[in-house]
Amino acid sequence: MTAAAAVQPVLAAGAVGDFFEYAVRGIPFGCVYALLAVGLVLNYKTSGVFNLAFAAQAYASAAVFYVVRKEHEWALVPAALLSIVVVGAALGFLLDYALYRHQRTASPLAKLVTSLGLLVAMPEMVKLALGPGVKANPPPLWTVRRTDDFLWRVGGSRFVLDAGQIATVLATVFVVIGLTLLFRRTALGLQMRAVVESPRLLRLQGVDTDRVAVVSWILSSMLAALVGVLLAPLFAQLTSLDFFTLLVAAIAACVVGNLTSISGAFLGGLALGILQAELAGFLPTDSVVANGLRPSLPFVVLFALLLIRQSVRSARTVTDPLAGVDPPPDPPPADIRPAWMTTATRAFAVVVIVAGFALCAWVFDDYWVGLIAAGVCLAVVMLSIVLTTGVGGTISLCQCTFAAIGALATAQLTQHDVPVLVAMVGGAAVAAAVGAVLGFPVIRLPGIYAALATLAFALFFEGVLINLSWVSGGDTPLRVPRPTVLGTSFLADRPFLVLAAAVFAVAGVAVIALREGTTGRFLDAVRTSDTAASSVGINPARTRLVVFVLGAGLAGLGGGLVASFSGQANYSQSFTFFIGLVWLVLVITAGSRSVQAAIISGISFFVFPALLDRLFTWPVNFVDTNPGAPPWLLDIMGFFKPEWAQGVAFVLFGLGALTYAKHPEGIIAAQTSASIRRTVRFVERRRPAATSPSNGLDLEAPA
Amino acid sequence: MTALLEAVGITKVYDGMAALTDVSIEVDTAELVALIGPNGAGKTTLFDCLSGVQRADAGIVRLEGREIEGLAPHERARMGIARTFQRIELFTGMTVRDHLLVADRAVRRSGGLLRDLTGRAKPDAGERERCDEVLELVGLADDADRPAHALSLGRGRVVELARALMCRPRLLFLDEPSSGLDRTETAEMAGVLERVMEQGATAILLCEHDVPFVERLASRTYVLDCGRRIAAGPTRDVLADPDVRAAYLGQGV
Ligand SMILES: Nc1ncnc2c1ncn2[C@@H]1O[C@H](COP(=O)(O)OP(=O)(O)O)[C@@H](O)[C@H]1O
Ligand SMILES: [Mg+2]
Repeated sequence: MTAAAAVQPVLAAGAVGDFFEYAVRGIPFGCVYALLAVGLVLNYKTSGVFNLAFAAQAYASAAVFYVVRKEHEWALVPAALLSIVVVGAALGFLLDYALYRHQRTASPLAKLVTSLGLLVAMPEMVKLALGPGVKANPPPLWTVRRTDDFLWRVGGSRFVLDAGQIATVLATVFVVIGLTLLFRRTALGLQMRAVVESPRLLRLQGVDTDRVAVVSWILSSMLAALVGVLLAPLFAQLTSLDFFTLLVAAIAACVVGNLTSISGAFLGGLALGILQAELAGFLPTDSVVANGLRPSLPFVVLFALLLIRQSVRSARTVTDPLAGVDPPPDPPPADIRPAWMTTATRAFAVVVIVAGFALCAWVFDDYWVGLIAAGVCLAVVMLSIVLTTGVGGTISLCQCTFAAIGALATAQLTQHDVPVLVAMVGGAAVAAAVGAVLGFPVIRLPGIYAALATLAFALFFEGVLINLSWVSGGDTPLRVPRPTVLGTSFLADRPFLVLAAAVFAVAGVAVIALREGTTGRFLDAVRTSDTAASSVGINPARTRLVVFVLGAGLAGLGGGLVASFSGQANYSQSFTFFIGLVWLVLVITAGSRSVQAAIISGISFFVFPALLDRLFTWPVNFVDTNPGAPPWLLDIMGFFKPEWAQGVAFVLFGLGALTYAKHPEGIIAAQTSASIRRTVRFVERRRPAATSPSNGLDLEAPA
Repeated sequence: MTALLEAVGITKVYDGMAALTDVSIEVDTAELVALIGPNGAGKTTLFDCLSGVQRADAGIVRLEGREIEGLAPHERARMGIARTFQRIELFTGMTVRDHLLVADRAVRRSGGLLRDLTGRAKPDAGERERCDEVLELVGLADDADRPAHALSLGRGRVVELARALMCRPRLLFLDEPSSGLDRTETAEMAGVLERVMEQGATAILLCEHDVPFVERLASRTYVLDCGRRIAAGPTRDVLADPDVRAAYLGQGV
């Protein structure tokens, strides 16, 4: 509350004056939310992609603007033109041309996964391209800094807006009016909307759908660029995470407009900004409520909207009227595999597992064994993604949060002298309980909204809850010991690897039992259609909830293992939202229903960056040890930097998700099917009349 | 004696447009009743209200005298109300036998986490027997292990019927069971329904456009037009009614 307001006696007129004062103060923030929200809606409406990577696009342009303006000291106009018009348009064109053009008839899920992959890959690419340094004090688009020009006094109230805020308000008004006219008045606007509903129908009408879509993408991408450049000065530093967090408020605003109404998104954003300012003004500054509520408002509003709005709960995904012409999805490898080959595969799996343990025991040095052990611990969390998303069909963006909850609870229990293994089970139980409370409303939401609700929860935990000492256990991460059971010590990495592998094996067998058993069949039924499933007596909400809760518990167990292995429950190092996104993207790429995918992606998460590190260190060593080499060779070698490894790994992980649209079953299953087909064909050519596939499927059908 | 199903004064409004206005309907034990009417008359909406997919805005639904308004679709299914869908809704990635097994375990509540985790997910003798019985009854025994989506539309409708029968329904709603089928398939479907009726355990309410199909099977018929019940009675009388002929033939069906 302002000092002036505090000394005034609280009169009715004064309170009303305050109300308007706070409202005006909230408008610029509201416009920030509104602008992002309008961009998301434009993107969704014209491409069918709920483009979470919008935040990454905005960040990319903001970073370009920062570099040319601040580090290369360009003039304002060329800098703005480059970062907004050139970079924005080029990115939009590229996204459509290289990616979304090929996914126009893909499922909304496939499009969401693609955008998640980009959300992981793009900020890392920007950091690699523009250098890793801290980018402090992002420059404003509007250079005037004399805020007292924009000060009005009306009665007892003061209205203050600075230049950047006025720029934001003007840009928002301009964009909203422009887009509304585009959609209401022009043929292009109509075609842009129609191309989402059925690109095939539109093409039958003789419209060049590719041209329409590319225009949509360029337009929305330029809007993302404008948003990024405008918003960057709000923060002391330019980081991609701030953009993710703003995204939550923007998504809340989008939900006001049912994800498709531009004016709804605009009003929603504005209302959210004003609400935030009113709460900041009227709530006493030091109260617990105010301190907790202010930062969490966007999350609370998003959650409340998702739960309350009837239109959200009854939303159906738009299905292409011509979707029936699509061929059915490929059968899983197990269905096309002759029995003899199944036996061979199982034997091969045993060999691989035994060989893996042998290598870890006698061949690999401590460094690599440590990485592999960390990977196997993480694989338990990855398995929870398989269970929740692959088998359960709920896209959960908060498995990292459940893992963090498990780790923190494990740590807190061990502080009270609970044995570590028991504490891990306790951690899993706490995570499962949180999963039950969260899941109860969330699993009732239709697909994309459930993903958004889990996103809101993950960012809420990261932005608000983790700062509370009863959650995090204080400023320094809590220590977690490694277990000793019945005199057997798991203190060294190799025994711990065996322990983690045992936990993973038990959990993996359980996941397979669920996937192949009645639970899996019920979930398949529910995923096809709630209506059909409930017509035979399946309770869709309960079926989904049970699996969501089990998944949360499994993630919590994995989190406890990770914490015990690394010696501490360190949120910012092991469990952040961004790291969780990488996990999700990895598992989905490898195969969201597959237990092998969980272990492979768990180990890759640690081993792949280490391999890249070796790869990028090699040229540096070469330069050091061969100073007499030809200069051009030294130049090339000197170009590589070891610190690229992590970033490059994340970029590749993120780009891996782009294969999802082509292979929703995951690259492991796709590769397996392909090699089964090859082998069967090979064997049949050599023994014409012998073993035909057991269930009589036509393997020669064109893939 | 109370009827098996009694619906009184069902009214349903979508976005200000009345899809059903004050519709009452009764079905007795083990009888086959038809519901006819032009497209958009509200037949599917009535099925949705009766099976619980939609909540009616007004009206009462009773099953054997017990009010079931407010129960969720899966609860009604477990009470013995099964249905099929006009736009066929088969479960993706499942064989025909899986469809039946899922339905059997869902209504009997005999499948669950514990059963899966203790390795007893494979069908037991009783389950296999019940599946085979229904497969035999509807004539799907040869296709039992094929993926359901690989079958023709006609066979698909039979799979939906078999899945519904697995629920041991006392009352079965069939939404346009012969639409999209050719003449032989339609005749086969009628034969299957006759066999189901012979067993005497199930009452059927079906909506249809195919008048000979209705004449062959239904003892009584209700007629809906624009969300209102315009006629009811023995099938032959109803089909001869001039109002009905006007509503139907006027639409050029
Ligand atoms: N979910 C819905 N939302 C809005 N209107 C609907 C919905 N379902 C059906 N209707 C409308 O209700 C009317 C009755 O439809 P329906 O019951 O499907 O007719 P029928 O099955 O007799 O062809 C139609 O005008 C249809 O457009
Ligand atoms: Mg209908």
